[in-house]
Amino acid sequence: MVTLIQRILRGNPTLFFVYVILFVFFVFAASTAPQFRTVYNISNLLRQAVAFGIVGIGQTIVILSGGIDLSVGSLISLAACLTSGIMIGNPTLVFPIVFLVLGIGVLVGLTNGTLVAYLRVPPFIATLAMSAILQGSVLLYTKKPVGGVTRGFMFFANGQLGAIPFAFVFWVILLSFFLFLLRRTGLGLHVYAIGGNQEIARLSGIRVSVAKVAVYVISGFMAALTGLFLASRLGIGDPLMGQGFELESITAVLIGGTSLAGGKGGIEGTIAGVLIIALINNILNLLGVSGFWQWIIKGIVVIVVVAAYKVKE
Amino acid sequence: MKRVLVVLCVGLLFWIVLAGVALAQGWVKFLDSDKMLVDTSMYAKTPPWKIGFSNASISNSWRVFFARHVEYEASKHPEIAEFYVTDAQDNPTKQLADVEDLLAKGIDLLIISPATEAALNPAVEKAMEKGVPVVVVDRKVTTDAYVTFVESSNYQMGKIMAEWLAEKLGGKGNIVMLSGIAGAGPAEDRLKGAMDALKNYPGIKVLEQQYCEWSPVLGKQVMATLIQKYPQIDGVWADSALQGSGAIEALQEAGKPIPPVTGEDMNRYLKMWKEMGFEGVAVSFPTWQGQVAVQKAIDILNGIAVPRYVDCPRVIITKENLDKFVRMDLPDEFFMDSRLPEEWLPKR
Amino acid sequence: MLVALFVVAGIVSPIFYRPQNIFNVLQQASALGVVSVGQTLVILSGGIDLSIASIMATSCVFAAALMAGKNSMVIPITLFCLAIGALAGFLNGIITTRRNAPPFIVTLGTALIFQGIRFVYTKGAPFGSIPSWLRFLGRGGIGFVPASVIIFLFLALVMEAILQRSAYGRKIYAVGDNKVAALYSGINVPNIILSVYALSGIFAAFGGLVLAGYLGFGDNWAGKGYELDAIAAVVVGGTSLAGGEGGMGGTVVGVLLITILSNIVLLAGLPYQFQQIVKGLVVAAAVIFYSFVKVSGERR
Repeated sequence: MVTLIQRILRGNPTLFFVYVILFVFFVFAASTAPQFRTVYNISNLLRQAVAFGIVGIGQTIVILSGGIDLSVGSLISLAACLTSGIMIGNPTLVFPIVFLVLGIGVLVGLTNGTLVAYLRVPPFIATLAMSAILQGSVLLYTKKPVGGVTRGFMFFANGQLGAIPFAFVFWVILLSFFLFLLRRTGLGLHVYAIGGNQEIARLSGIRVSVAKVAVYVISGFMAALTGLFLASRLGIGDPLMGQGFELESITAVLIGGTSLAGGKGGIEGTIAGVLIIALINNILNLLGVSGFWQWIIKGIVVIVVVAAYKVKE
Repeated sequence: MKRVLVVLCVGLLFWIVLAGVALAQGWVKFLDSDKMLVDTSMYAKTPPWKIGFSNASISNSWRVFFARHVEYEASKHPEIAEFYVTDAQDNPTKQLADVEDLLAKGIDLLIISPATEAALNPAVEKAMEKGVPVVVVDRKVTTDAYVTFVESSNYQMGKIMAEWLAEKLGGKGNIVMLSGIAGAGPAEDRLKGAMDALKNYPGIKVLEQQYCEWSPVLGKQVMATLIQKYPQIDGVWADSALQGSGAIEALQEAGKPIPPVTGEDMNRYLKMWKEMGFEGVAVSFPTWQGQVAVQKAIDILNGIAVPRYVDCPRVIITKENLDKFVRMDLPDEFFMDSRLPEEWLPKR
Repeated sequence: MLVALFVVAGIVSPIFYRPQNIFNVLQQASALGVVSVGQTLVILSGGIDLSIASIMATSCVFAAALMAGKNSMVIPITLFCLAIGALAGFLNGIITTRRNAPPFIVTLGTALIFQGIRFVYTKGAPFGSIPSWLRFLGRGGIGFVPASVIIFLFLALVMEAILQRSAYGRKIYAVGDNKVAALYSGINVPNIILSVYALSGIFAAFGGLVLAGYLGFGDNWAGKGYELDAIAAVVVGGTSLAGGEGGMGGTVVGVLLITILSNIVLLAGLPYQFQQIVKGLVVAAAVIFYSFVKVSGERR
């Protein structure tokens, strides 16, 4: 494990830098706010990071392929509302609903992918339009927080395995799976190739359109999973709860050193990006910075972080 | 025989448990009733206190006034040694994290103004489980795990506005309804209150109901289009003065006589009302709910019983008492049903 | 496309053709139009600007506060607001070029910073008022043509002329088409990029003033959502997000299309949810239409 990390870092200066920044933030937090060091706080921090972590994985893969997915926010709202709205505390419905919701995520991803890959709609617009359609749909379904999940289902997001949140373990498993997918399988290599240069990828025999659809399907699936996670964490679905997730997840991905042009970066960086954002929020809270100044400081920090590593062309 | 007895006993036990659950639930409902006082002696604590205030956001002027009231009241009590404020920036997931951060600081009491209704249940449940009493203010949570809920009913607000409008029109006429954000609790509650009120006025015809996202720009744009669409608009129900003031501008620019328009205690609306002299009513959504929440928090930590539910009475501003509230010298986005002393107003 | 929409609009509701309704639509299109002109420049150069909405609101709030209803202050404070916009754009440009940072994040960060600045300045409750001259800009008209739309079309025309006829304009296309090639052909790429962000900031600030005039007071969130609307308008107008392809003519069409769409879903009396769905569908359909036209054009 350690040697793997070392190898990754040596081969990738940007990634190394992202982790240095994460480390600096961590040390800063630990030295300025005494409450930060408590096990309780750290365990919370990890749990807070998971929601962005899940959707961030999907977003990373889309961005690696040279795309972008702005529909994840509305999809999260829809998934969470359907989950709690249909479940209404009935334990026998948990598994059917999980399949239904993830199925909807896949369907949305399939549509996004088709629009982008086959109908040549720029991903920014295709997913923005999808976002409006999904937000309209979720408001058709409900205008108020709806239903409720079962106690057992709440374990998904709130359960503990000793001192470690269950959700965090789940996230680590997901991460390992997708790290493997990106680094060791054909699809992963194709995603990087397409993001690097679509024409060359096509000429070297990669089925670009199929891979692109797959990428959006993964993103839709992960957004639906995030919706399930949030319904579990909050106990209820709210039609506006996914707002802002699209931009924040993209921010996390880009802070993690993945290039918006595609082809460069990876999930390893996004992990750090997600943790950096969670840390910023956590530190600003622990230091008691007032709301208006939080915006300014967050804006400056985000800019400084992305400006700090110079990507060579 | 023995087997039958066992089955009977198990059956009986089952029924007893079931009855117990039913009773317990009935009792919880009893606890929920408005007049019920909650015994808070177990939360009594000798000062100094650490109080945490988890605010949904200060991203608009109503919320700024609201937060000011909280801080103003907190400043008056030297028993509060530490008063921590977090800002969720309108994001329920961040707010959940905020509450956890506050609990990590070891607060004695939590005041929370939820970013969305119902989504902060786990946050307040967690606090109560840790023995930290919770005061919920402004928007509700659907769990029972809190000590007191301080609000000013949005449902009533929308209802009063609609009743005034219907009465003003003599129970007959065409109105348009302009709501806030689709899916946002306060907007939906105000709309529901208004719809319920209008059931009693069959002569009032709702031409159209639209959402304007609490934006004066959208309020004006939507109204300008609706004026083209409907030759006769006898009244406008707007759930807030934000889109309401925009709608008034649109009506004025269309060169039409301005029909009755509802609004709230935002100075922009009051100033327009005073200057243009149309028929108006302002129903406040009191910004001083925040102040009341802190007062109840102090009571709880002193072990004084508090009501389970507090409805802050809204002020209804009519032609008669308009002059008492409107202040031409103060900024447009000030809320005039305020209990802040002059030096606490968010003025430069 | 626009003609088709005009016909469809008329079928949906004959009210659409009323002069007063056309006036309203044009007026509502203007602020979005002005900021879309800036956004077009940025996108043509291969970038993206998400700080537009924040700059608009900041400019609107500062205009109300500093003009305080006095016509004599309109010109100096307008210049001041444009300077704020230029500063924000400069910040975007300098970090994007000097540090090679992704504009998506940089402009998002700038948006947060300027949002914070206007709230700190007004303590969250905007004050002051908009003088009558600026109000004329936002809501006045010459006959049946709104003053603001004249300015929007004028700006679009001037920028189109610059894009097509001047060396500077050709350099913007060259940078957006291929940065490395542009660099080798002797173009000062960083300066070109810096200039388009600065221009976009200025246009955004001006758009904020148009909106301030339309609205009549300083609102903390004037222009909310305009950054994404502007991008949608530019792309619907046929400009490629990859840069180097497109122009102002398409953007004008895109802006009108998005505004008319908002107008007809209201005239049709669609509930809010269906408005969202229809807007999403039409925008997607418009872009699909363009991509097919382009493909068949290339084949010919």
